[in-house]
Amino acid sequence: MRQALGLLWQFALRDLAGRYRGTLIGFGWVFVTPLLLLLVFTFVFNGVFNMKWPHSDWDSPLGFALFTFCGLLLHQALADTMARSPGLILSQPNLVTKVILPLWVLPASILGAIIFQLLVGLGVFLIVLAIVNGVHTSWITLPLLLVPFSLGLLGVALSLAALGVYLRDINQIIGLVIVLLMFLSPIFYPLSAVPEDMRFWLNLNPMAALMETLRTTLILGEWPGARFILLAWLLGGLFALTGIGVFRHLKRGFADVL
Amino acid sequence: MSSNTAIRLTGVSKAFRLYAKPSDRLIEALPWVKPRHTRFNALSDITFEVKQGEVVGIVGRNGAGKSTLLQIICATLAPTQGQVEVNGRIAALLELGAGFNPEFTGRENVWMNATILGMRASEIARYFDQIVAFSEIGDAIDQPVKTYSSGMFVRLAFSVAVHVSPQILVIDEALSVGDGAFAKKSFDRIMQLKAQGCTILFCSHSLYQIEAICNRAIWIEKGECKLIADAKTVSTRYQSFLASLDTDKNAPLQQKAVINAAAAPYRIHDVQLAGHSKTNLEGQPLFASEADDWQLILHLECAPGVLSPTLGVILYAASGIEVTSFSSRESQVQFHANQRITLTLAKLPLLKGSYYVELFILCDQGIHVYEHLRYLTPFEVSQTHLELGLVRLPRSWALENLA
Repeated sequence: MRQALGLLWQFALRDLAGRYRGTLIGFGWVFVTPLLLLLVFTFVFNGVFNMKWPHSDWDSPLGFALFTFCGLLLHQALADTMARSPGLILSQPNLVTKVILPLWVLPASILGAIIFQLLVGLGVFLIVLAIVNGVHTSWITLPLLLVPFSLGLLGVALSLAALGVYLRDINQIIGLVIVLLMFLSPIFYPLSAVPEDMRFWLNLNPMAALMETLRTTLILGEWPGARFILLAWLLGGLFALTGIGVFRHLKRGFADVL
Repeated sequence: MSSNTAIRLTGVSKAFRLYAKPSDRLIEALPWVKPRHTRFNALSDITFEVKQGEVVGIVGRNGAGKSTLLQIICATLAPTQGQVEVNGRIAALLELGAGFNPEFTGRENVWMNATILGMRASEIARYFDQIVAFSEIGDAIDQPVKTYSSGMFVRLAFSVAVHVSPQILVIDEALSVGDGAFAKKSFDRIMQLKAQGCTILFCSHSLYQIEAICNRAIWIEKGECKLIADAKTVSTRYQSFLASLDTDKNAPLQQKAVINAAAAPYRIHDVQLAGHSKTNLEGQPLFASEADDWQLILHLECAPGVLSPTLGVILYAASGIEVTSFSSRESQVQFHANQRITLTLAKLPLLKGSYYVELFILCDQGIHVYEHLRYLTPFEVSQTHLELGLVRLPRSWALENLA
């Protein structure tokens, strides 16, 4: 286990370092990518389509940007996880067949890197928010929301990494799913703006409630409900356990097909 | 398991399932579907034990199952049947630099690879300079590995692996790394590990290495354990097996082909070898190098009244290299009528290996070929020492103390 943790650390470092290796601004991309995305979305939805968030004091383009940014950060973490997991083991067959390695370290480590990026993004977000809007005490509940989210991501990463070895089609379809999820999650619009009869379906996506709650907690300073937090932990735990189960069951066959 | 056993395999078999598509493997994991694979038995019923501190070699042809066996011992593959017990920290050199990422610098890859091989951060920090020094990479350690030459790459990978100080080292074909000087150094390092009591299991195509390092050897053929014995015995038997395969391959040649024989005024028959004390597994004569007198005996019929023909004998190594040749003309031997001819090489100066002979009958001038007998009398030579090559040449060493 101690070795596995060492490996986890090494792989996560390597992943982060590798992503920005050779680029001009290096680690700066951790900040620049979400900011650029935010700029584009703000321009398109607020500037071109003239969409507004339903809080009168958040009517400015900056207000729109901050609301959007919050959901976008979560989606970005999920999208990264979904995009990178399926090919993860597939692309490194040597690590399966040639060296002795606890393989769960691979998806876990890229998840580590992704969560690090999420935290940096949230850090930037909170600093801007503190300057524009001041600090809310409800921010202290942030870990209670982020830990179940990370557990959920772990489940997704493990499942997709294991399934990706066998079903190479996943890599083809995952990009589409990510785009779909982006528009079906309340990132650019609040759930309340969705027609009544559609809302139920959008709520089936666990990300929807999380995005809504994170926004109200961080921007409006409302406290998340205890029931919601409990549910989030249950769901996160369920995702993680399912992922672990799937991965353990499927990893026996990796060497057979790689 | 007794305390001094390092590795024990009991009835280990491995059947690979071959799938047309990777998704078939997934569908098969469902409980109610019938198998969607074809089976391939890579190993069947392998049982052996390796004591701590023992050095055991594995020989066998490509595809015999050597690598599968090593992978099972390293637990990167699970056996289909049987048990594997391993006692101690195992370092696997199944493929040098398997965990290396070409985009990263040598330094980063050393950290990665050493962690994969089971070193702790504190150990890596302690040994890092030694690893770099051993690899002779120098300042290039901070360059991306993709800029390395293949020699640098394997040197670095090897260097990491041997500094892990494993209790059991499993090596697949990785002993002759880099140029001559480095190969020597890596060899020394392995001998040093051996001296420290490290159990070593390695497979190599170099029977010389197997004989030089190993206490025992295992010969795997078609997934079965054909022989487990001391390294020398295995090496010799395996080599003669390889030689017999070689002759199979040359089967058309083997039929003592007679070329240009028609209407020749000379005939050769009853060619045989004598002077050997043993025969090998294939029933071929087995000569002891520098001990047995090698004799080639043949009958030569000459038509009455013709000039003495020239007899040529070419001695080939199994690989097809001409080792040497003998011409009756050069030796000024004259043949007449019906004669039995014996060519003797006293205390046969050939070294270990398989050989065969070709015969020529030429005109008295040694120019026109009347008859060419191919692939005659294959035989094998064994030796007691480790010198390499085909022949043993007379030698003398001179030593002079310099002021």
